[in-house]
Amino acid sequence: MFGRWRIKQTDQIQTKNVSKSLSDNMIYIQKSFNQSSDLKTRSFQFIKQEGLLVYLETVCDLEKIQTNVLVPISKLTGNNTTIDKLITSTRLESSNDLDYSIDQMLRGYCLLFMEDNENAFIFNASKINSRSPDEPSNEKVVRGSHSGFVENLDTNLNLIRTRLANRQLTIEYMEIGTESNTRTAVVYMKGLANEQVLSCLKERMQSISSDMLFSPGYLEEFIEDEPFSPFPQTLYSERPDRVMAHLMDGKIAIFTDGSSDVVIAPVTLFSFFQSPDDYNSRVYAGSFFRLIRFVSFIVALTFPALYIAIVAFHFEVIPNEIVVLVKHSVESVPFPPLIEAMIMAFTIELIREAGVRLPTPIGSTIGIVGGLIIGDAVINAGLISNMMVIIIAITAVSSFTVPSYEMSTSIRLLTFPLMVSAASLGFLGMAFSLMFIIGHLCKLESFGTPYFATLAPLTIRDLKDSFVRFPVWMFNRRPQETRAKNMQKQGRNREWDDEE
Amino acid sequence: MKNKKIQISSFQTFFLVIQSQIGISVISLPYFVFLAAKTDSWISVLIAGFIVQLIILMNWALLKRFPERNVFEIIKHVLGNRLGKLVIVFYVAYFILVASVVLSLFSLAIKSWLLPLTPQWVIKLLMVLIGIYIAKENIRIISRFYVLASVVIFMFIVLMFYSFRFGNHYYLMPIGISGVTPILKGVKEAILPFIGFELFMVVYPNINATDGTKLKVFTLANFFVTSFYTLITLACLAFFSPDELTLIPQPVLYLIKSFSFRIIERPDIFFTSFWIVLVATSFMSYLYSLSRGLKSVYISFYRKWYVYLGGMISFTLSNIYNQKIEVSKLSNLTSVLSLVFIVILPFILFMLTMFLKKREDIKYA
Repeated sequence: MFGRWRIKQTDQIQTKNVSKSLSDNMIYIQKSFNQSSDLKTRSFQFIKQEGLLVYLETVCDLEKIQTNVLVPISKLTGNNTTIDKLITSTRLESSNDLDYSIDQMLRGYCLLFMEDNENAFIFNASKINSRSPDEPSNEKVVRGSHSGFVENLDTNLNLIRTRLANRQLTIEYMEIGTESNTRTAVVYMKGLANEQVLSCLKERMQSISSDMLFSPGYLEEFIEDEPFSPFPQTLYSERPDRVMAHLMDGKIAIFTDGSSDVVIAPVTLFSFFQSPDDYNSRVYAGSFFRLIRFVSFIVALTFPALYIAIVAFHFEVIPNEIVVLVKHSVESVPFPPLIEAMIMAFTIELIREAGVRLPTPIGSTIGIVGGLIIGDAVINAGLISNMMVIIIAITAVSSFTVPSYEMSTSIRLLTFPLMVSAASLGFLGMAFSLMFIIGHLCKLESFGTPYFATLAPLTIRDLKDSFVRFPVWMFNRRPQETRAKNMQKQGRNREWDDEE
Repeated sequence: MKNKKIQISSFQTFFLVIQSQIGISVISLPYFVFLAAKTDSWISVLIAGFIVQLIILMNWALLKRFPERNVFEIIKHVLGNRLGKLVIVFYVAYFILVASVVLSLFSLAIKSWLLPLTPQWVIKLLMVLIGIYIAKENIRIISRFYVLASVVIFMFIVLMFYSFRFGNHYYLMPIGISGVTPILKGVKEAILPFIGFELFMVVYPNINATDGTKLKVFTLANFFVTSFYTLITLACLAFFSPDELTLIPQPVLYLIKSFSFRIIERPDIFFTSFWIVLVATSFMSYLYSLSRGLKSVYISFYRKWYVYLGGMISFTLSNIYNQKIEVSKLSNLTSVLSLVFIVILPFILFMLTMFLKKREDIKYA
């Protein structure tokens, strides 16, 4: 219903041509902008002809307008020249379509009308208003590049172009959002990125009929394969080096104006556990930390459920010495283990959620009050057992070691159903719910790429860069799941090494 | 699916076959064989593996003649549409029966090992749900899942080797004391756990390999399963005395139960949970096979509807008989039926194709 209504509305707009009369044009522009206050004009004289400069002062750099047009005009001495030769802006076009020109004004362009001329000159005078490319606070690394994307699309594309000086790096602009007209850019390596994935992605992006594109999360929800899956199917990154590495694997990056996050697709589960730091540290250390992340993934997912299942159903699986300890701590607690775990997990989520939105000093206070005081008091009061606090704390800490925020949230959410199934059916319930999760991961596909790739389907060669990280010079071929058109990544390296 | 066939690699086929075979009976195999063949059970298992290899060869020879058709389509092609569909319905009924027996045996084992008080239908329902969840997907996704699930089998193997540390190999001596007849009787018992390889007859055209490679993969899978079963049998025979073995119906779990590690006092409980995965995979195979069968009888519905239907029917069926005696009677029935559906019927089909000279692998000019 709404779609039809919108189409009808756009039909009514007829292309209006630039009129020879300056005032006609001005009246039309003013009407288009609803007499907006930031619409400014400046009239001038150019070889006995009246000229009019129209711009939105909020998106234009006034100094640029001055140096590009007004200064050359004022310095004009001779008579035999035309206005377009005078404008010194690098981007200049002329159009007789007034509506098109008006749309360009929104992007920081300035219009110049001459009397008795049926063309409007459009030149760029946009105000670039962006912060410096600082290191993103949620993707910090110890070594390596410390630059990060900013909210300006052009700056971000510049960051990527300077890193990948290759003519195959292709950028395609797209405007998404019927009302907001947000600029997005699809960036990929031609000759590497899989064409099928690319066309699928572009088709999905073009089919977005939302009136605005608010954030990359919006974009993700419109284009992902399984919107109701607990797992994120595109990767966000604010790091140019990370995006570059993914582009060189044949993946596609989507840049959105106004957001410092770049959406990378297609991805696999393993991409969420990689961090640029892995490749900057020594092979053993990099592998060790990668492995730690996977262990923490499994711990965060199953640890509370395992504990609940053991305490509630299978006390006999733990040896006697531990039974004594656990029993001692559980004995006086009034709640069943599931309720206990739920209370603690919920409290931790509360503390986290409260801490996220607050300024840092208050945030850390919340952490101390929440973590130390509540934790201590709750045990002293005998409401929650020591063991449960330990379990939930370890779970929370391990869930935060996953480098991707989205993935760590998914893991924490998945703990709850696992806990419930463990509390109702013990190990049997856990086995079934884990089978469901693994089955779901086997099913998931991100733009036709298996999400659980290198494990399902199992490609042993690609395990080099999954749980551990092999030396970089051994990655001679790109992973199978990237479906890149050119699989060869590098030839033989380290040939000077006799033993190689 | 018509224009673009979903293909799986031979690597995946290997796991697909072994996962469908190894399932419910892996924990009780040594017991039943032992009842017949005593200390020479392992010979029975080896012979059973050899016989299964012969059956595989025969089925392969049949399937090879029609590289673009699976067993149901061959039946329709050879026996004609009407009769063919009737036979397929029998096949489907057999699959449903096996699936429901799997469900019942599974819930009985869970009842005695993990959750004695939980109502059995809850356990069955969970199994049906996971079965439907995976089996409704295409064969590529199923095989992905099976490959991952095979980690469990390797855990079993490691544990069996570990058990030899405590084994007494004199229990196996003297070899061949039971005589020929008991060993052959043991073979009859030992064939049942091999059932499940018939999945390859359903997915044959979906395997992306030459006919020779396919046979190699099936043989390798059969070899693997035979060695695995022999290993289990040997481990149990060496670990338990002959008197003991007649008393414990799930010797593999008892074997694991007797170990204790530093942090896991009762590994059997963990391994029962892992075993659930093995049962689930073979259950899924049956659901998948029966849905493919029904799809070739009546093509207009989505295959996943047949998966739902098959899941529901086997769930209801398995709830009708819950007692141990009924279940063991039914499982005897399935072993007879499996002989009919896996050996006799394909053999008849094979003979028919030979006489009628029907084949599609060689084009006559």
